[in-house]
Amino acid sequence: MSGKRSARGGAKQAELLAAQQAPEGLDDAELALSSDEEYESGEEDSELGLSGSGSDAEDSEEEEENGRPRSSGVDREIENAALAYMAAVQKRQQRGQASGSGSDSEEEDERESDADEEPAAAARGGGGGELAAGSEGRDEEEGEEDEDEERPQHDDPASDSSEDERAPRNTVGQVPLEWYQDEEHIGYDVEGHKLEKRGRRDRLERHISKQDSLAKEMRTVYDEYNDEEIELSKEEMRMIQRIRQGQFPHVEVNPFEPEVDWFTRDVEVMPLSAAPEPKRRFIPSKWEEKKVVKLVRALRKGWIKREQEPEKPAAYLLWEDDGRTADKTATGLTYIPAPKLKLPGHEESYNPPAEYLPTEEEKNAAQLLDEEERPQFVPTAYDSLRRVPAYASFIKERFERCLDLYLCPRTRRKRLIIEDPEVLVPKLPKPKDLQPFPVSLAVRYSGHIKAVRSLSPDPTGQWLLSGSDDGSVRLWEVRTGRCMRTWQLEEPVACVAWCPSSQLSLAAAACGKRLFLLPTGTGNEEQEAATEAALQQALAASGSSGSGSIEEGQLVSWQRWQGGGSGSGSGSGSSDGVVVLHRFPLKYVTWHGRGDYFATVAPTGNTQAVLVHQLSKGASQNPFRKNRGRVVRVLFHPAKPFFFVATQQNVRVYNLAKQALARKLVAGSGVITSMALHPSGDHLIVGSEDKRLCWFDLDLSTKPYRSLRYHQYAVRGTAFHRSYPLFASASDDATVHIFHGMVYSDLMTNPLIVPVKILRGHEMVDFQGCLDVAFHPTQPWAFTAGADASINLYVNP
Amino acid sequence: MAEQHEEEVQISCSFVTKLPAELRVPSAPIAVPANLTRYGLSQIINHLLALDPARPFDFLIDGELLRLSLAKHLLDRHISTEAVLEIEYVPAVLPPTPKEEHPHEDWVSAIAGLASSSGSKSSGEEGPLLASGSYDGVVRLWRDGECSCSFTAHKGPIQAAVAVPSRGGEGPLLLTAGNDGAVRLWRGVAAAAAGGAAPEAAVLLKGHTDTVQGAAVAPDGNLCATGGWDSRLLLWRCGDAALAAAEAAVDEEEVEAAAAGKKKRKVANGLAVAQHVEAPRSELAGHSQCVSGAAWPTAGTLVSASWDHSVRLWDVEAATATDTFNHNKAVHCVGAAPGGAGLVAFGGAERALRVWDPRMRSGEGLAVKACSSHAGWISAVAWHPSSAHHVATASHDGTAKLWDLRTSIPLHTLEGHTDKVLSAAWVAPDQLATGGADCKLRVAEVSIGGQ
Repeated sequence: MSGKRSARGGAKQAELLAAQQAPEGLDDAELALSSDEEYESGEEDSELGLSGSGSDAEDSEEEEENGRPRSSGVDREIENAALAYMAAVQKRQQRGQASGSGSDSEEEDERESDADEEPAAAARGGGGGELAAGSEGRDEEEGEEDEDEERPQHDDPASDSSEDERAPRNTVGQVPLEWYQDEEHIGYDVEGHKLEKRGRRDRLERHISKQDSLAKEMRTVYDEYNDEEIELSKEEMRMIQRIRQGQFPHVEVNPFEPEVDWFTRDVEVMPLSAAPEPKRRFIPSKWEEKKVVKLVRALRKGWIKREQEPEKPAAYLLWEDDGRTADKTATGLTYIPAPKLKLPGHEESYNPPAEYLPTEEEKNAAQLLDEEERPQFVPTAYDSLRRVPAYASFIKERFERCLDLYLCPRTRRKRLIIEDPEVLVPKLPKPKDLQPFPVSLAVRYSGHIKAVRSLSPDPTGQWLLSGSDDGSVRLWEVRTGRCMRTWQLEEPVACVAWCPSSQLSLAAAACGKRLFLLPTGTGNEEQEAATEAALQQALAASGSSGSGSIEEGQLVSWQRWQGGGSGSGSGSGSSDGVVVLHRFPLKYVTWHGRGDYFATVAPTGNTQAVLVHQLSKGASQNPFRKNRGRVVRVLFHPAKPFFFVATQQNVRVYNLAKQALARKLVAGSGVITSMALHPSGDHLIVGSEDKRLCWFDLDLSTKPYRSLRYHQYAVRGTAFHRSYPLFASASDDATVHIFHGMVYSDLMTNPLIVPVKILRGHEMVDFQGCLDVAFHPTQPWAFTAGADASINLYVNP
Repeated sequence: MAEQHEEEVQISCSFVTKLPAELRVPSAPIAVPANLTRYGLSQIINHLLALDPARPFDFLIDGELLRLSLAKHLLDRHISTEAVLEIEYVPAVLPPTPKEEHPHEDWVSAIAGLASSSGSKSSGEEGPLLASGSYDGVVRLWRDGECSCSFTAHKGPIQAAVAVPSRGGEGPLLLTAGNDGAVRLWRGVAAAAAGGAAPEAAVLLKGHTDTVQGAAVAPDGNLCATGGWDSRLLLWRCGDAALAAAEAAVDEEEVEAAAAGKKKRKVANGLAVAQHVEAPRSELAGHSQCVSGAAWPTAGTLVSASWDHSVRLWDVEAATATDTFNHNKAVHCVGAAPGGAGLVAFGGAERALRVWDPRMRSGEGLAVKACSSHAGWISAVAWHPSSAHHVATASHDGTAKLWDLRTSIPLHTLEGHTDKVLSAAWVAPDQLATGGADCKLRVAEVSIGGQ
């Protein structure tokens, strides 16, 4: 019976119709017994219903009156839902039978009212139960019959889908009804005519109808929008009842249906397919085997590399990601966490413990400080939180915080991560391929008492001259280490230099303010005679008196010196030298390649720091009156008219022919201590106090081609070998470093510099180690002078 | 077990020798234990010969001296122990016994033995005469531990002193060279040693412009070669030839002087009374640096060593270099085997004594053998005057060593010097003199047995 609703006219119409249909009632009854026509049952029902009414009416009315207040909002909702539901069903019925005859619907009404008697009775409880009991069973039977008949033709009334299709039967529109509460009409139709209120039946009318059919009245609800009364069927009532009890609206719905396991993993005894298991299930897959073999081979040959999981260190930072320093943001910029504020401690408390509170003295002391040094925060105690004033410097601090964030660097310098630093080391030839170079100590020249300052081997390589702090100049035989001669010069000897001329056997020694020109006595008779003659000539040409002091207006004074030397091999006539008196203490002397000119350096002699002397003329000149900085070393170019002047900061190259500054070399390092020139004259090495040895390629740049920093202390001496591609640096760390320095004639090839050997053998004395280094002119040997008063000769192995 | 097994190994060997018949053993093979050393074999020989007192022997296997045990020696050289091994035995060189020690006033840098080849035999009881040159330029003559005469030969240190054989009756001449670039030939040395007048500088070989470092005299004494720091190797007329020339020149001068009425024979530097200045006969060009040593093994061959790392072999007649060995270090001294054996030993700025066999081409690999034992530079090489195998070396490590070149291990080490040993020379076949920077000349008796 569900879903079967008929359009309703008013109750009067229904009665009229019922009267008209009375003749058809018999047919209906007949049909109801056998036929499947749904709308034509009910004659009997109505009769039954009529007969069954009576005492129920009052109850029903009461029920209605009492039920409203009793039923909660939920009930109302359910009712509304039911109403909407029924309206939907009606609409469908209307569609279903285009113009379903009025009689039909009326008749149905009748019939339904009967059918609905039962739920009403049930609702009543036991009240009118007996009255309806007799007809109940039949009613139900008929109802069920109808239900069965209808199902094929109609959609399941429980389906919610029907609700969407509900046509706006409401002619009034969606207007709040209270607008027309006091009006005669309930609204307007499409054409603007007033829709008259039908008006609710008054009590009497209702009572009468109740008398007519109590059950029907009980099941009738009034639809205000459509201004009609709707009768609920028995099934609908039952449905409502079930909903109220929290059950499914339809009885037939079984929530606990046994689950059928359609898809099971259990092997069926009778499987769906009876085909025998294919063979491929049993034999190992050939393709897989091939693939495995391939993989195994690849693994063995190392084509596939198994990534080894990086071992997690046993101890790791638990909150490592907190910093999130290395993460990339979505924008690709490096995420830099904002600097964190310091967390508040006890002293920031509103009522800190007494020990945090500054005493009066501390407060006063803080007042005396500058504002910037004053502590930013002074702990203060308040007895309760509400007495804490507003934070005075809130805005200021916030501003500073903003500044912090604003000034926080936004870019991070990329750190180059080099896994194997060896890769960066340039490929250099092995030292053993660069032999010969000095390696092992062969001869030790001992005789000096104090630190040996300077070394100078003679051009043939047979002799070595050394100057020491003990005021002596010694002449050594290289091969045997024999001290052949000693000159006592009273003051520490700063520098010795052997005259490169092959005609002379002469050496120069700078000692205090005096420069000695010493005939070494190592040459043959002709050389000694020539030396004596040259000295005589120089003395004569200089024209200086033998007064022993420098005359006014003279730079220097050339004097005969009668000191002489001691030691074997000193002949009778060769002991007299010449002394050139200077005004300032000399630190360095160097010869020009031809052995006629020599230059002296007096670092403290401001405008007379560099003097160039000519032996043959006994003349001295002062070519550099302005020396920017303290001059340390000077050098003559071996072939060209160039003159190198090293001040403490840089090296100036002067063209003597043009009398102009040719080049200024900037070492960019500390105080220059020594300088040596490559025999080709195109390369210069400069040692400085900041442990560095700079190689200048004069054709390349005024900046160092290489800066070698291998020493631990200041570099004191540097030297180039005359024929072998070797150079060396002596340092205060008591070591001498030997380098292979190959210079190529090809201008496109840069010099090859390879450190090959560290010579140790001296000891540090008063933070001085090796003070000078010199190479043997023909052999790959190196002489080193130490502060420990010894001179060593290192030879190739 | 292994040791026992080793002990059981026997090697059958036959002993042969070139010694006289009374020291020969039957050449039939004898089985000897393989672990025997030189001493054990020597005992066997002594036993076989029933010598009393026992004489030590050294043993040569394939020309190499046995220094380890027999088994090891054979194993090292891959010689089969199955075949009969032929072992030659020679009298062993006994450890040298220090004989004399002569203090000097300065470093002893040159020593020459002036054993007169013919004359001194007659005065057999007398010890050999030796001359030592030192850094003060004085040559001292020693005989039997007495300094019989000393005279200033050079202005500077004497770097070389060589005895020049002479057929004259006055005994050998002495050639000295020094730092002053002069080379002087002295006559009358033997007479001076006997208490006569000081030797006379008969000839001054003038040509070097710098220190003369090395000198060598031809076996017949008529030629000499000197090399020095002026990188020149000069050949001079020497010995009797030079004396004859000098006498001729003196005669001529006398004639001239008589003619001019002028006295030519003047005292020059107080060194010599009469001096004939000899010019170099020829120059052997080739060395580029200091010629530090020379040796003259046979009449036509000259060996020179130089700081330019080369050792050269010269054909004196043609004045050309026949062979050159280029070393990698400066060479300081050189010695050549007497009697045309052809071996050249040299020492340089390294610790090893190198032995060069010029007869082998350098490509054959073993042309130069290194004998390392010294701890310093080798300053002098003195080949035994008669043995081609025995060489004495002096070294800066303060020792002198005696080598048998048939093994690379030195036979004996002469200690005693407290400073660098600068010179060494055989003053007699059984006497080795060494002089050093401790201003001492030491003579040790070494018997190179049987030769």
